[in-house]
Amino acid sequence: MTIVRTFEDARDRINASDTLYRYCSTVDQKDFVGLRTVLAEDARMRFCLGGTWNEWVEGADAIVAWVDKMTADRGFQHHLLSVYHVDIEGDQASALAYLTSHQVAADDPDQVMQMSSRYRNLLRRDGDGWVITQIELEVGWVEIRTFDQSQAIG
Amino acid sequence: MNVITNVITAADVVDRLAVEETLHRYWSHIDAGNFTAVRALFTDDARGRYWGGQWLDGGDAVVEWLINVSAPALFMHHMGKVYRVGIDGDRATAHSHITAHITLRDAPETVVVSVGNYFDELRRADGGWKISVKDFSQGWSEARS
Repeated sequence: MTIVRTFEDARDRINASDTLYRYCSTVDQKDFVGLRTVLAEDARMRFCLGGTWNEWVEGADAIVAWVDKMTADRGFQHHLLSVYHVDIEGDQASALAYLTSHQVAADDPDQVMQMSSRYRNLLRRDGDGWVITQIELEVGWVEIRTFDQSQAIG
Repeated sequence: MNVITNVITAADVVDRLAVEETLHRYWSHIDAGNFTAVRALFTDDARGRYWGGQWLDGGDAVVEWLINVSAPALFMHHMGKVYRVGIDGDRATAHSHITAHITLRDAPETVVVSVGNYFDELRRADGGWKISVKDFSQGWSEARS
């Protein structure tokens, strides 16, 4: 566990967290150019569903293409992330973040997919900030729900 | 300011935390029904827009609207996270995510879930930061029993 004791600790903690939040907000906005900027060239990712880990997706461009493909049928997306741990050792960091996501079907605005997941990521210092070098997404719960949005508040 | 604004100096850290504090208090004061405290978070000339409706002009108008829309609520829980803060001198912009659970007095066994985004603008004031623009857009809402 890394205890924040100095200004440098606080700065690293905030900037590393910002990179993780930016990953989510760019996915939500389908801002794939922005998404690419938070990934290291040699980044890799894999995800686990139902206790089974999929193969690694190797390289930043391949990850962006994978996200594009996996979210193609989604309209509004909302990845609500909370960064729990950031452990920094020199120019490397590891992080644990909890996620609750809502993703509305592009062809059915009354249907949403909700997921409860955890990210275990690695990051590398890059200039004044941090880029992601590894993503492990463990999906613990997936649920499809429907609700007539014409009856929703707002 | 639509790029990552890295925290570099100690002053950046102070500003960043102060902006987040203002935005977190907006949610917690609403949940507590403390609208006097909510009003103190807004500039006098603040503007607000919710669910893509008409802009509300003035801090008093924004808070009056919040009081009215919150009146039927029995319990409110705004689970939010500030995703991005961009600071440019005495002005700041912020993007936050929210998932709120709200129960109503006349249907306490039903919870309304609202999922959306806030886009805020803030100004440095009174030693801290006040909200000058509050724009909420919702992407999903449902009622569950």
